[in-house]
Amino acid sequence: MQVKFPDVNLLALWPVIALVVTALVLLVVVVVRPRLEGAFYALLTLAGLAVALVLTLIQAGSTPISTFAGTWRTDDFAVFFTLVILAASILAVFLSEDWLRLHNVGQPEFYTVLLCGTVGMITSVSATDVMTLFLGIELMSVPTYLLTGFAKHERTSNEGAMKYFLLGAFSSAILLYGLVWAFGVTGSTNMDAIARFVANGGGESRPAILLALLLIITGLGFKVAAVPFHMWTPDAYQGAPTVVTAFMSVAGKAAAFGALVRLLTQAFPGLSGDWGPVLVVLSVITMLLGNIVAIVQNDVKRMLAYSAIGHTGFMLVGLSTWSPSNRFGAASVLFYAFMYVFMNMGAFGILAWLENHGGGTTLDHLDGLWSKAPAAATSLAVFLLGLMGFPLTAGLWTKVFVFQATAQAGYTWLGVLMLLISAVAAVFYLRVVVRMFMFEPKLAIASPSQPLMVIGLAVALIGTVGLFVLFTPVLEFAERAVGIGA
Amino acid sequence: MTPPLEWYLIFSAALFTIGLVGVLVRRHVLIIFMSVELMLNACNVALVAFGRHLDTLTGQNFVVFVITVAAAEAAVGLGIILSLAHHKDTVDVGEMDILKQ
Repeated sequence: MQVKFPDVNLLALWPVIALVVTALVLLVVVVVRPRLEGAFYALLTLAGLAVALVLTLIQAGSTPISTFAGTWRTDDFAVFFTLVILAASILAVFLSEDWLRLHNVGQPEFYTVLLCGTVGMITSVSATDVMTLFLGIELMSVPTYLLTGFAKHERTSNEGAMKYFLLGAFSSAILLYGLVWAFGVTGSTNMDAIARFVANGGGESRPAILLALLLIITGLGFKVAAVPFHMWTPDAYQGAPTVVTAFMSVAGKAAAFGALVRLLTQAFPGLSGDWGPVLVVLSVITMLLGNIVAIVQNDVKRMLAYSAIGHTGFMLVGLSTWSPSNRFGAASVLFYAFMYVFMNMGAFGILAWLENHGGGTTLDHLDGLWSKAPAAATSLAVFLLGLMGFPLTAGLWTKVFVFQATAQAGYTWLGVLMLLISAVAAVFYLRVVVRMFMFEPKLAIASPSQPLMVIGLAVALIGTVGLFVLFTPVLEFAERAVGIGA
Repeated sequence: MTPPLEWYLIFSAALFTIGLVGVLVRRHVLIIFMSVELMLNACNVALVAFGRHLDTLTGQNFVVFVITVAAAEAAVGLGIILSLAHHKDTVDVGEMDILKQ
Protein backbone atom coordinates (compact mmCIF):
# COMPACT_ATOMS: atom_id res chain seq x y z
CA MET A 1 0.00 0.00 0.00
CA GLN A 2 1.55 3.24 -1.17
CA VAL A 3 0.49 6.47 0.49
CA LYS A 4 1.35 9.68 -1.29
CA PHE A 5 0.61 13.23 -0.36
CA PRO A 6 -2.39 14.47 -2.36
CA ASP A 7 -2.19 17.41 -4.71
CA VAL A 8 -3.51 20.61 -3.17
CA ASN A 9 -4.64 23.56 -5.25
CA LEU A 10 -5.66 26.35 -2.91
CA LEU A 11 -7.08 28.38 -5.81
CA ALA A 12 -10.22 26.28 -5.55
CA LEU A 13 -10.59 27.13 -1.87
CA TRP A 14 -10.17 30.91 -1.68
CA PRO A 15 -13.82 31.66 -0.82
CA VAL A 16 -13.79 29.05 1.93
CA ILE A 17 -10.49 30.33 3.28
CA ALA A 18 -11.92 33.86 3.41
CA LEU A 19 -14.88 32.61 5.46
CA VAL A 20 -12.77 30.55 7.86
CA VAL A 21 -10.37 33.46 8.43
CA THR A 22 -13.32 35.77 9.16
CA ALA A 23 -14.75 33.25 11.63
CA LEU A 24 -11.39 32.96 13.40
CA VAL A 25 -10.94 36.73 13.51
CA LEU A 26 -14.39 37.03 15.10
CA LEU A 27 -13.40 34.47 17.72
CA VAL A 28 -10.26 36.45 18.56
CA VAL A 29 -12.13 39.75 18.62
CA VAL A 30 -14.68 38.36 21.04
CA VAL A 31 -11.89 37.60 23.52
CA VAL A 32 -10.19 40.98 23.12
CA ARG A 33 -13.33 43.14 22.78
CA PRO A 34 -16.31 41.12 23.97
CA ARG A 35 -19.00 43.81 23.81
CA LEU A 36 -18.40 46.31 21.06
CA GLU A 37 -21.13 48.84 20.41
CA GLY A 38 -22.87 49.17 17.08
CA ALA A 39 -22.85 46.83 14.16
CA PHE A 40 -19.10 46.17 14.17
CA TYR A 41 -19.36 42.37 14.24
CA ALA A 42 -22.05 42.30 11.57
CA LEU A 43 -20.01 44.55 9.29
CA LEU A 44 -16.90 42.40 9.82
CA THR A 45 -18.89 39.27 8.93
CA LEU A 46 -20.38 41.00 5.89
CA ALA A 47 -16.90 42.03 4.78
CA GLY A 48 -15.74 38.40 4.95
CA LEU A 49 -18.80 37.18 3.08
CA ALA A 50 -18.40 39.90 0.45
CA VAL A 51 -14.77 38.88 -0.13
CA ALA A 52 -15.89 35.26 -0.49
CA LEU A 53 -18.61 36.34 -2.93
CA VAL A 54 -16.15 38.27 -5.09
CA LEU A 55 -13.70 35.35 -5.09
CA THR A 56 -16.53 32.99 -6.11
CA LEU A 57 -17.58 35.32 -8.93
CA ILE A 58 -13.98 35.29 -10.17
CA GLN A 59 -14.10 31.49 -10.18
CA ALA A 60 -17.33 31.48 -12.22
CA GLY A 61 -16.69 30.62 -15.82
CA SER A 62 -13.05 29.62 -15.37
CA THR A 63 -11.94 26.04 -15.94
CA PRO A 64 -13.05 23.60 -13.22
CA ILE A 65 -10.39 22.92 -10.60
CA SER A 66 -10.28 19.43 -9.11
CA THR A 67 -8.09 19.17 -6.05
CA PHE A 68 -7.36 17.24 -2.83
CA ALA A 69 -6.93 13.97 -4.73
CA GLY A 70 -10.24 14.40 -6.54
CA THR A 71 -12.34 14.95 -3.41
CA TRP A 72 -13.16 18.59 -4.12
CA ARG A 73 -14.13 20.21 -7.40
CA THR A 74 -14.82 23.86 -7.99
CA ASP A 75 -16.81 23.73 -11.22
CA ASP A 76 -19.82 25.71 -12.45
CA PHE A 77 -22.13 23.51 -10.38
CA ALA A 78 -20.24 24.23 -7.16
CA VAL A 79 -19.90 27.92 -8.02
CA PHE A 80 -23.63 28.23 -8.70
CA PHE A 81 -24.61 26.75 -5.35
CA THR A 82 -21.84 28.65 -3.56
CA LEU A 83 -23.35 31.88 -4.89
CA VAL A 84 -26.81 30.82 -3.68
CA ILE A 85 -25.44 29.94 -0.23
CA LEU A 86 -23.38 33.11 0.09
CA ALA A 87 -26.34 35.24 -0.98
CA ALA A 88 -28.45 33.58 1.72
CA SER A 89 -25.72 34.07 4.35
CA ILE A 90 -25.29 37.73 3.48
CA LEU A 91 -29.03 38.32 3.72
CA ALA A 92 -29.09 36.38 7.01
CA VAL A 93 -26.48 38.70 8.53
CA PHE A 94 -28.41 41.77 7.38
CA LEU A 95 -31.63 40.40 8.87
CA SER A 96 -30.19 39.08 12.13
CA GLU A 97 -28.19 42.01 13.47
CA ASP A 98 -31.23 43.79 14.89
CA TRP A 99 -32.65 40.67 16.47
CA LEU A 100 -29.32 39.88 18.12
CA ARG A 101 -28.98 43.43 19.42
CA LEU A 102 -32.55 43.66 20.74
CA HIS A 103 -32.29 40.30 22.51
CA ASN A 104 -28.76 40.90 23.75
CA VAL A 105 -27.57 37.61 22.25
CA GLY A 106 -23.84 37.12 21.67
CA GLN A 107 -23.29 38.57 18.23
CA PRO A 108 -19.73 37.38 17.41
CA GLU A 109 -20.59 33.83 18.48
CA PHE A 110 -23.69 33.84 16.29
CA TYR A 111 -21.77 35.01 13.24
CA THR A 112 -18.94 32.55 13.85
CA VAL A 113 -21.39 29.66 13.92
CA LEU A 114 -23.18 31.05 10.86
CA LEU A 115 -19.90 31.26 8.93
CA CYS A 116 -18.95 27.69 9.93
CA GLY A 117 -22.32 26.48 8.66
CA THR A 118 -21.76 28.37 5.41
CA VAL A 119 -18.38 26.67 4.98
CA GLY A 120 -20.07 23.29 5.53
CA MET A 121 -22.71 24.09 2.94
CA ILE A 122 -20.09 25.11 0.37
CA THR A 123 -18.17 21.91 1.15
CA SER A 124 -21.21 19.71 0.59
CA VAL A 125 -21.91 21.20 -2.86
CA SER A 126 -18.26 21.13 -3.93
CA ALA A 127 -17.54 17.56 -2.82
CA THR A 128 -16.89 14.95 -5.48
CA ASP A 129 -16.09 12.25 -2.95
CA VAL A 130 -18.66 10.79 -0.60
CA MET A 131 -16.31 11.25 2.37
CA THR A 132 -16.03 14.98 1.75
CA LEU A 133 -19.75 15.14 1.08
CA PHE A 134 -20.53 13.59 4.47
CA LEU A 135 -18.14 15.99 6.20
CA GLY A 136 -19.76 18.93 4.43
CA ILE A 137 -23.26 17.83 5.38
CA GLU A 138 -22.20 17.49 9.01
CA LEU A 139 -20.32 20.78 9.06
CA MET A 140 -23.54 22.31 7.79
CA SER A 141 -25.87 20.48 10.20
CA VAL A 142 -24.03 20.89 13.51
CA PRO A 143 -23.85 24.72 13.34
CA THR A 144 -27.50 24.77 12.25
CA TYR A 145 -28.51 22.86 15.39
CA LEU A 146 -26.68 25.50 17.41
CA LEU A 147 -28.31 28.39 15.55
CA THR A 148 -31.74 26.84 16.09
CA GLY A 149 -31.16 26.83 19.84
CA PHE A 150 -29.52 30.23 19.93
CA ALA A 151 -32.34 31.91 21.82
CA LYS A 152 -31.38 29.80 24.80
CA HIS A 153 -33.72 31.50 27.24
CA GLU A 154 -36.75 30.61 25.17
CA ARG A 155 -38.14 27.14 25.56
CA THR A 156 -39.48 26.96 22.03
CA SER A 157 -35.99 27.55 20.69
CA ASN A 158 -34.57 24.82 22.97
CA GLU A 159 -37.23 22.37 22.01
CA GLY A 160 -36.89 23.05 18.29
CA ALA A 161 -33.13 22.62 18.53
CA MET A 162 -33.51 19.35 20.42
CA LYS A 163 -35.90 17.85 17.89
CA TYR A 164 -33.81 19.10 14.99
CA PHE A 165 -30.65 17.72 16.56
CA LEU A 166 -32.05 14.25 17.29
CA LEU A 167 -33.60 13.77 13.85
CA GLY A 168 -30.67 15.47 12.12
CA ALA A 169 -28.13 13.17 13.75
CA PHE A 170 -30.39 10.20 13.01
CA SER A 171 -30.64 11.13 9.32
CA SER A 172 -26.89 11.72 9.10
CA ALA A 173 -26.32 8.19 10.39
CA ILE A 174 -28.70 6.77 7.75
CA LEU A 175 -26.98 8.79 5.02
CA LEU A 176 -23.60 7.59 6.26
CA TYR A 177 -24.64 3.94 6.19
CA GLY A 178 -25.74 4.40 2.57
CA LEU A 179 -22.42 6.04 1.66
CA VAL A 180 -20.52 3.24 3.43
CA TRP A 181 -22.33 0.64 1.35
CA ALA A 182 -21.72 2.60 -1.83
CA PHE A 183 -18.02 2.60 -0.94
CA GLY A 184 -17.97 -1.07 0.05
CA VAL A 185 -19.68 -2.31 -3.09
CA THR A 186 -17.99 -0.09 -5.65
CA GLY A 187 -14.59 -0.06 -3.93
CA SER A 188 -14.21 3.70 -4.08
CA THR A 189 -15.46 6.82 -2.38
CA ASN A 190 -14.91 8.90 -5.51
CA MET A 191 -18.14 9.81 -7.30
CA ASP A 192 -16.71 9.34 -10.79
CA ALA A 193 -15.40 5.87 -9.85
CA ILE A 194 -18.81 4.96 -8.37
CA ALA A 195 -20.44 6.18 -11.60
CA ARG A 196 -18.16 3.96 -13.69
CA PHE A 197 -19.04 0.98 -11.51
CA VAL A 198 -22.81 1.48 -11.73
CA ALA A 199 -22.77 2.51 -15.40
CA ASN A 200 -24.15 -0.84 -16.50
CA GLY A 201 -26.63 -1.15 -13.65
CA GLY A 202 -24.22 -2.66 -11.13
CA GLY A 203 -24.25 -6.29 -12.27
CA GLU A 204 -24.27 -8.82 -9.42
CA SER A 205 -24.05 -6.18 -6.71
CA ARG A 206 -27.15 -4.36 -7.97
CA PRO A 207 -29.26 -5.14 -4.84
CA ALA A 208 -26.56 -3.75 -2.55
CA ILE A 209 -26.20 -0.62 -4.72
CA LEU A 210 -29.95 -0.06 -4.65
CA LEU A 211 -29.93 -0.45 -0.85
CA ALA A 212 -27.18 2.17 -0.64
CA LEU A 213 -29.11 4.48 -2.94
CA LEU A 214 -32.28 4.08 -0.87
CA LEU A 215 -30.40 4.89 2.36
CA ILE A 216 -28.79 7.93 0.73
CA ILE A 217 -32.11 9.26 -0.56
CA THR A 218 -33.63 8.73 2.90
CA GLY A 219 -30.77 10.51 4.65
CA LEU A 220 -30.76 13.49 2.30
CA GLY A 221 -34.57 13.39 2.23
CA PHE A 222 -34.46 14.42 5.90
CA LYS A 223 -32.07 17.26 5.12
CA VAL A 224 -34.20 18.70 2.31
CA ALA A 225 -37.40 18.11 4.36
CA ALA A 226 -39.16 15.72 1.98
CA VAL A 227 -42.26 13.90 3.22
CA PRO A 228 -42.23 11.38 4.96
CA PHE A 229 -38.92 12.59 6.44
CA HIS A 230 -40.19 16.06 7.28
CA MET A 231 -41.36 15.68 10.91
CA TRP A 232 -38.57 17.85 12.32
CA THR A 233 -39.23 20.72 9.92
CA PRO A 234 -42.30 22.49 11.36
CA ASP A 235 -41.00 22.29 14.94
CA ALA A 236 -37.44 23.33 14.13
CA TYR A 237 -38.59 26.14 11.82
CA GLN A 238 -41.13 27.44 14.32
CA GLY A 239 -38.89 27.09 17.36
CA ALA A 240 -35.78 28.65 15.85
CA PRO A 241 -35.26 32.40 15.93
CA THR A 242 -37.00 33.67 12.77
CA VAL A 243 -33.79 34.87 11.14
CA VAL A 244 -32.28 31.42 11.65
CA THR A 245 -35.38 29.84 10.12
CA ALA A 246 -34.89 32.08 7.10
CA PHE A 247 -31.26 31.04 6.80
CA MET A 248 -31.72 27.31 7.21
CA SER A 249 -34.84 27.08 5.08
CA VAL A 250 -32.95 28.63 2.19
CA ALA A 251 -29.22 27.97 2.50
CA GLY A 252 -29.53 24.61 4.27
CA LYS A 253 -32.05 23.41 1.73
CA ALA A 254 -29.95 24.66 -1.21
CA ALA A 255 -26.87 22.85 0.13
CA ALA A 256 -28.75 19.61 0.77
CA PHE A 257 -30.27 19.80 -2.71
CA GLY A 258 -26.82 20.52 -4.14
CA ALA A 259 -25.45 17.40 -2.45
CA LEU A 260 -28.45 15.35 -3.59
CA VAL A 261 -28.25 16.53 -7.21
CA ARG A 262 -24.48 16.03 -7.29
CA LEU A 263 -24.72 12.51 -5.84
CA LEU A 264 -27.60 11.32 -7.99
CA THR A 265 -26.45 12.84 -11.27
CA GLN A 266 -22.72 12.35 -10.86
CA ALA A 267 -22.33 9.16 -8.82
CA PHE A 268 -25.51 7.32 -9.84
CA PRO A 269 -26.40 8.59 -13.32
CA GLY A 270 -26.60 5.00 -14.56
CA LEU A 271 -29.40 4.31 -12.10
CA SER A 272 -31.59 7.30 -12.98
CA GLY A 273 -34.25 4.83 -14.09
CA ASP A 274 -34.32 3.55 -10.49
CA TRP A 275 -34.11 6.73 -8.43
CA GLY A 276 -36.28 8.78 -10.79
CA PRO A 277 -39.56 7.00 -9.91
CA VAL A 278 -38.67 7.06 -6.18
CA LEU A 279 -38.29 10.83 -6.39
CA VAL A 280 -41.56 11.13 -8.32
CA VAL A 281 -43.40 9.42 -5.44
CA LEU A 282 -41.59 11.53 -2.83
CA SER A 283 -42.28 14.73 -4.73
CA VAL A 284 -46.00 14.03 -5.07
CA ILE A 285 -46.56 13.30 -1.36
CA THR A 286 -44.27 16.17 -0.36
CA MET A 287 -46.16 18.70 -2.51
CA LEU A 288 -49.52 17.45 -1.31
CA LEU A 289 -48.80 17.30 2.40
CA GLY A 290 -46.74 20.51 2.59
CA ASN A 291 -49.25 22.67 0.80
CA ILE A 292 -52.41 21.18 2.27
CA VAL A 293 -51.30 21.21 5.92
CA ALA A 294 -50.13 24.81 5.44
CA ILE A 295 -53.75 25.83 4.86
CA VAL A 296 -54.85 25.04 8.42
CA GLN A 297 -51.95 26.83 10.16
CA ASN A 298 -52.73 29.89 12.24
CA ASP A 299 -49.11 30.86 12.85
CA VAL A 300 -47.62 32.34 9.69
CA LYS A 301 -44.13 31.16 10.65
CA ARG A 302 -45.36 27.58 10.89
CA MET A 303 -47.38 28.07 7.71
CA LEU A 304 -44.20 29.10 5.90
CA ALA A 305 -42.47 26.01 7.33
CA TYR A 306 -45.08 23.80 5.66
CA SER A 307 -44.86 25.93 2.55
CA ALA A 308 -41.08 25.25 2.60
CA ILE A 309 -41.89 21.53 2.61
CA GLY A 310 -44.18 22.11 -0.37
CA HIS A 311 -41.38 23.90 -2.23
CA THR A 312 -39.11 20.91 -1.57
CA GLY A 313 -41.77 18.88 -3.38
CA PHE A 314 -41.70 21.24 -6.38
CA MET A 315 -37.91 21.03 -6.55
CA LEU A 316 -38.00 17.23 -6.30
CA VAL A 317 -40.36 17.21 -9.30
CA GLY A 318 -37.64 18.92 -11.32
CA LEU A 319 -34.92 16.54 -10.15
CA SER A 320 -37.03 13.41 -10.73
CA THR A 321 -37.20 14.15 -14.48
CA TRP A 322 -33.41 14.06 -14.85
CA SER A 323 -31.80 11.51 -17.13
CA PRO A 324 -28.34 11.50 -18.76
CA SER A 325 -29.90 12.54 -22.07
CA ASN A 326 -32.30 15.13 -20.61
CA ARG A 327 -30.57 17.21 -17.96
CA PHE A 328 -32.92 20.17 -17.84
CA GLY A 329 -34.60 18.85 -14.67
CA ALA A 330 -31.44 19.46 -12.65
CA ALA A 331 -31.11 22.96 -14.15
CA SER A 332 -34.66 23.75 -13.03
CA VAL A 333 -33.72 22.74 -9.45
CA LEU A 334 -30.68 25.03 -9.47
CA PHE A 335 -32.74 27.88 -10.88
CA TYR A 336 -35.43 27.28 -8.23
CA ALA A 337 -32.89 27.33 -5.41
CA PHE A 338 -31.51 30.67 -6.63
CA MET A 339 -34.88 32.42 -6.88
CA TYR A 340 -36.08 30.88 -3.62
CA VAL A 341 -33.33 32.73 -1.69
CA PHE A 342 -34.86 36.16 -2.19
CA MET A 343 -38.54 35.23 -1.82
CA ASN A 344 -38.23 33.06 1.27
CA MET A 345 -35.58 35.11 3.10
CA GLY A 346 -37.75 38.14 2.44
CA ALA A 347 -40.92 36.54 3.80
CA PHE A 348 -39.23 35.31 6.97
CA GLY A 349 -37.37 38.62 7.19
CA ILE A 350 -40.64 40.55 7.41
CA LEU A 351 -41.84 38.20 10.16
CA ALA A 352 -38.57 38.80 12.03
CA TRP A 353 -39.04 42.54 11.59
CA LEU A 354 -42.54 42.27 13.06
CA GLU A 355 -41.24 40.29 16.03
CA ASN A 356 -38.55 42.90 16.64
CA HIS A 357 -41.35 45.47 16.75
CA GLY A 358 -42.97 43.61 19.60
CA GLY A 359 -45.44 41.82 17.35
CA GLY A 360 -45.88 38.12 16.79
CA THR A 361 -46.25 35.87 13.79
CA THR A 362 -49.84 34.69 14.00
CA LEU A 363 -52.46 35.77 11.49
CA ASP A 364 -53.98 38.06 14.14
CA HIS A 365 -50.74 39.96 14.39
CA LEU A 366 -50.78 40.59 10.65
CA ASP A 367 -54.33 41.96 10.58
CA GLY A 368 -54.39 45.41 9.07
CA LEU A 369 -50.63 45.65 8.78
CA TRP A 370 -51.18 47.81 5.70
CA SER A 371 -52.53 50.72 7.71
CA LYS A 372 -49.71 50.62 10.27
CA ALA A 373 -46.69 49.70 8.16
CA PRO A 374 -47.51 49.93 4.46
CA ALA A 375 -43.97 49.18 3.27
CA ALA A 376 -43.72 46.00 5.33
CA ALA A 377 -47.18 44.85 4.26
CA THR A 378 -46.46 45.46 0.58
CA SER A 379 -43.10 43.70 0.77
CA LEU A 380 -44.57 40.67 2.50
CA ALA A 381 -47.33 40.56 -0.12
CA VAL A 382 -44.71 40.58 -2.90
CA PHE A 383 -42.70 37.80 -1.23
CA LEU A 384 -45.80 35.65 -0.71
CA LEU A 385 -46.94 36.20 -4.30
CA GLY A 386 -43.43 35.18 -5.36
CA LEU A 387 -43.65 31.98 -3.34
CA MET A 388 -47.04 31.40 -4.93
CA GLY A 389 -45.53 31.72 -8.41
CA PHE A 390 -47.38 34.88 -9.38
CA PRO A 391 -46.35 36.81 -12.53
CA LEU A 392 -44.16 39.90 -12.08
CA THR A 393 -42.12 38.00 -9.49
CA ALA A 394 -39.22 35.60 -10.00
CA GLY A 395 -41.45 32.89 -8.52
CA LEU A 396 -43.30 32.54 -11.82
CA TRP A 397 -40.20 31.29 -13.66
CA THR A 398 -39.40 28.69 -10.98
CA LYS A 399 -42.74 26.99 -11.67
CA VAL A 400 -42.49 27.50 -15.45
CA PHE A 401 -39.11 25.80 -15.75
CA VAL A 402 -40.00 22.88 -13.49
CA PHE A 403 -43.07 22.42 -15.67
CA GLN A 404 -40.92 22.61 -18.80
CA ALA A 405 -38.64 19.91 -17.35
CA THR A 406 -41.60 17.59 -16.76
CA ALA A 407 -42.92 18.22 -20.28
CA GLN A 408 -39.54 17.49 -21.85
CA ALA A 409 -39.18 14.25 -19.92
CA GLY A 410 -42.68 13.01 -20.74
CA TYR A 411 -43.96 13.49 -17.18
CA THR A 412 -46.50 16.12 -18.19
CA TRP A 413 -49.09 14.74 -15.75
CA LEU A 414 -46.66 15.49 -12.91
CA GLY A 415 -46.23 19.04 -14.14
CA VAL A 416 -49.97 19.53 -14.34
CA LEU A 417 -50.36 18.12 -10.82
CA MET A 418 -47.71 20.57 -9.64
CA LEU A 419 -49.59 23.52 -11.16
CA LEU A 420 -52.85 22.34 -9.57
CA ILE A 421 -51.21 22.10 -6.15
CA SER A 422 -49.69 25.57 -6.68
CA ALA A 423 -53.22 26.84 -7.20
CA VAL A 424 -54.29 25.24 -3.91
CA ALA A 425 -51.29 26.86 -2.22
CA ALA A 426 -52.57 30.24 -3.35
CA VAL A 427 -55.29 29.83 -0.71
CA PHE A 428 -53.00 30.27 2.26
CA TYR A 429 -50.66 32.82 0.68
CA LEU A 430 -53.54 35.03 -0.41
CA ARG A 431 -55.28 34.68 2.96
CA VAL A 432 -52.34 36.43 4.61
CA VAL A 433 -52.41 39.16 1.98
CA VAL A 434 -56.14 39.67 2.43
CA ARG A 435 -55.83 39.93 6.20
CA MET A 436 -53.01 42.44 5.92
CA PHE A 437 -54.84 44.71 3.51
CA MET A 438 -58.54 44.35 4.36
CA PHE A 439 -58.81 43.66 8.08
CA GLU A 440 -58.80 46.15 10.92
CA PRO A 441 -55.54 46.36 12.87
CA LYS A 442 -55.69 44.77 16.34
CA LEU A 443 -52.24 45.26 17.80
CA ALA A 444 -49.94 48.21 18.18
CA ILE A 445 -46.33 48.03 17.11
CA ALA A 446 -43.31 49.84 18.45
CA SER A 447 -40.71 50.99 15.98
CA PRO A 448 -37.07 50.58 16.92
CA SER A 449 -34.62 51.67 14.26
CA GLN A 450 -33.37 48.73 12.22
CA PRO A 451 -31.16 50.02 9.39
CA LEU A 452 -29.42 46.75 8.48
CA MET A 453 -32.67 44.82 8.36
CA VAL A 454 -34.21 47.38 6.02
CA ILE A 455 -31.23 47.03 3.67
CA GLY A 456 -31.57 43.23 3.73
CA LEU A 457 -35.29 43.37 3.01
CA ALA A 458 -34.74 45.85 0.20
CA VAL A 459 -32.19 43.52 -1.41
CA ALA A 460 -34.62 40.60 -1.14
CA LEU A 461 -37.40 42.71 -2.63
CA ILE A 462 -35.26 43.92 -5.53
CA GLY A 463 -34.17 40.31 -6.13
CA THR A 464 -37.72 38.98 -6.15
CA VAL A 465 -38.99 41.58 -8.59
CA GLY A 466 -35.81 42.25 -10.57
CA LEU A 467 -35.14 38.60 -11.36
CA PHE A 468 -38.53 38.38 -13.00
CA VAL A 469 -37.00 40.51 -15.76
CA LEU A 470 -33.39 39.38 -15.56
CA PHE A 471 -33.81 35.63 -15.16
CA THR A 472 -32.06 34.61 -18.40
CA PRO A 473 -28.43 34.80 -17.16
CA VAL A 474 -29.38 32.73 -14.09
CA LEU A 475 -31.05 30.09 -16.24
CA GLU A 476 -28.11 29.96 -18.65
CA PHE A 477 -25.68 29.61 -15.75
CA ALA A 478 -27.82 26.84 -14.23
CA GLU A 479 -27.90 24.99 -17.55
CA ARG A 480 -24.14 25.28 -17.93
CA ALA A 481 -23.68 24.07 -14.33
CA VAL A 482 -25.52 20.81 -14.96
CA GLY A 483 -23.67 20.18 -18.22
CA ILE A 484 -26.19 21.31 -20.83
CA GLY A 485 -24.42 22.55 -23.93
CA ALA A 486 -21.00 21.68 -22.51
CA MET B 1 -7.98 -17.68 9.66
CA THR B 2 -9.80 -14.35 9.73
CA PRO B 3 -13.59 -14.42 9.63
CA PRO B 4 -15.10 -13.63 6.21
CA LEU B 5 -16.40 -10.16 5.29
CA GLU B 6 -20.04 -11.23 5.62
CA TRP B 7 -19.73 -11.77 9.37
CA TYR B 8 -18.61 -8.22 9.93
CA LEU B 9 -21.34 -6.89 7.68
CA ILE B 10 -24.02 -8.88 9.50
CA PHE B 11 -22.65 -7.63 12.82
CA SER B 12 -22.69 -4.06 11.49
CA ALA B 13 -26.22 -4.43 10.13
CA ALA B 14 -27.38 -5.81 13.50
CA LEU B 15 -25.82 -2.87 15.35
CA PHE B 16 -27.35 -0.43 12.89
CA THR B 17 -30.80 -1.99 13.27
CA ILE B 18 -30.58 -1.92 17.07
CA GLY B 19 -29.70 1.77 16.87
CA LEU B 20 -32.47 2.49 14.39
CA VAL B 21 -35.12 0.74 16.48
CA GLY B 22 -33.76 2.44 19.59
CA VAL B 23 -34.22 5.89 18.06
CA LEU B 24 -37.74 5.07 16.97
CA VAL B 25 -39.11 3.46 20.15
CA ARG B 26 -37.25 4.98 23.11
CA ARG B 27 -38.44 8.24 24.69
CA HIS B 28 -35.39 9.23 26.73
CA VAL B 29 -33.28 11.84 24.96
CA LEU B 30 -29.96 10.38 26.10
CA ILE B 31 -30.93 6.86 25.05
CA ILE B 32 -32.02 8.16 21.63
CA PHE B 33 -28.71 9.94 21.33
CA MET B 34 -26.86 6.76 22.35
CA SER B 35 -28.77 4.85 19.69
CA VAL B 36 -27.62 7.34 17.06
CA GLU B 37 -24.04 6.82 18.22
CA LEU B 38 -24.61 3.09 17.86
CA MET B 39 -25.68 3.64 14.25
CA LEU B 40 -22.54 5.66 13.55
CA ASN B 41 -20.39 2.93 15.06
CA ALA B 42 -22.17 0.33 12.95
CA CYS B 43 -21.03 2.39 9.97
CA ASN B 44 -17.48 2.37 11.36
CA VAL B 45 -17.45 -1.44 11.67
CA ALA B 46 -18.65 -1.78 8.08
CA LEU B 47 -16.08 0.76 6.89
CA VAL B 48 -13.15 -1.03 8.47
CA ALA B 49 -14.38 -4.42 7.21
CA PHE B 50 -14.87 -3.11 3.67
CA GLY B 51 -11.51 -1.33 3.74
CA ARG B 52 -9.72 -4.49 4.85
CA HIS B 53 -11.57 -6.59 2.26
CA LEU B 54 -10.73 -4.17 -0.55
CA ASP B 55 -7.17 -3.77 0.73
CA THR B 56 -7.39 0.02 0.86
CA LEU B 57 -6.80 2.61 3.56
CA THR B 58 -9.85 4.61 2.49
CA GLY B 59 -12.10 2.71 4.90
CA GLN B 60 -10.02 3.52 7.96
CA ASN B 61 -9.50 7.02 6.69
CA PHE B 62 -13.27 7.50 6.57
CA VAL B 63 -13.60 6.09 10.12
CA VAL B 64 -11.34 8.81 11.52
CA PHE B 65 -13.64 11.44 10.01
CA VAL B 66 -16.76 9.71 11.32
CA ILE B 67 -15.33 9.57 14.86
CA THR B 68 -14.46 13.27 14.67
CA VAL B 69 -17.95 14.13 13.46
CA ALA B 70 -19.52 12.01 16.19
CA ALA B 71 -17.47 13.87 18.82
CA ALA B 72 -18.59 17.24 17.46
CA GLU B 73 -22.19 16.09 17.38
CA ALA B 74 -21.96 14.84 20.97
CA ALA B 75 -20.57 18.18 22.18
CA VAL B 76 -23.32 20.19 20.51
CA GLY B 77 -26.06 17.69 21.33
CA LEU B 78 -25.25 17.50 25.03
CA GLY B 79 -25.14 21.29 25.12
CA ILE B 80 -28.65 21.46 23.68
CA ILE B 81 -29.90 18.79 26.10
CA LEU B 82 -28.41 20.70 29.06
CA SER B 83 -29.93 23.98 27.99
CA LEU B 84 -33.34 22.34 27.66
CA ALA B 85 -33.02 20.58 31.02
CA HIS B 86 -32.38 23.98 32.64
CA HIS B 87 -35.84 25.08 31.56
CA LYS B 88 -37.79 21.94 32.07
CA ASP B 89 -36.69 19.19 34.40
CA THR B 90 -37.19 16.41 31.89
CA VAL B 91 -35.35 14.45 29.24
CA ASP B 92 -38.44 12.71 27.90
CA VAL B 93 -39.23 13.65 24.30
CA GLY B 94 -42.91 12.89 24.94
CA GLU B 95 -43.05 15.91 27.25
CA MET B 96 -41.61 18.28 24.68
CA ASP B 97 -44.89 19.48 23.40
CA ILE B 98 -44.94 23.26 23.12
CA LEU B 99 -44.36 23.09 19.40
CA LYS B 100 -47.11 21.33 17.64
CA GLN B 101 -50.09 22.26 15.60
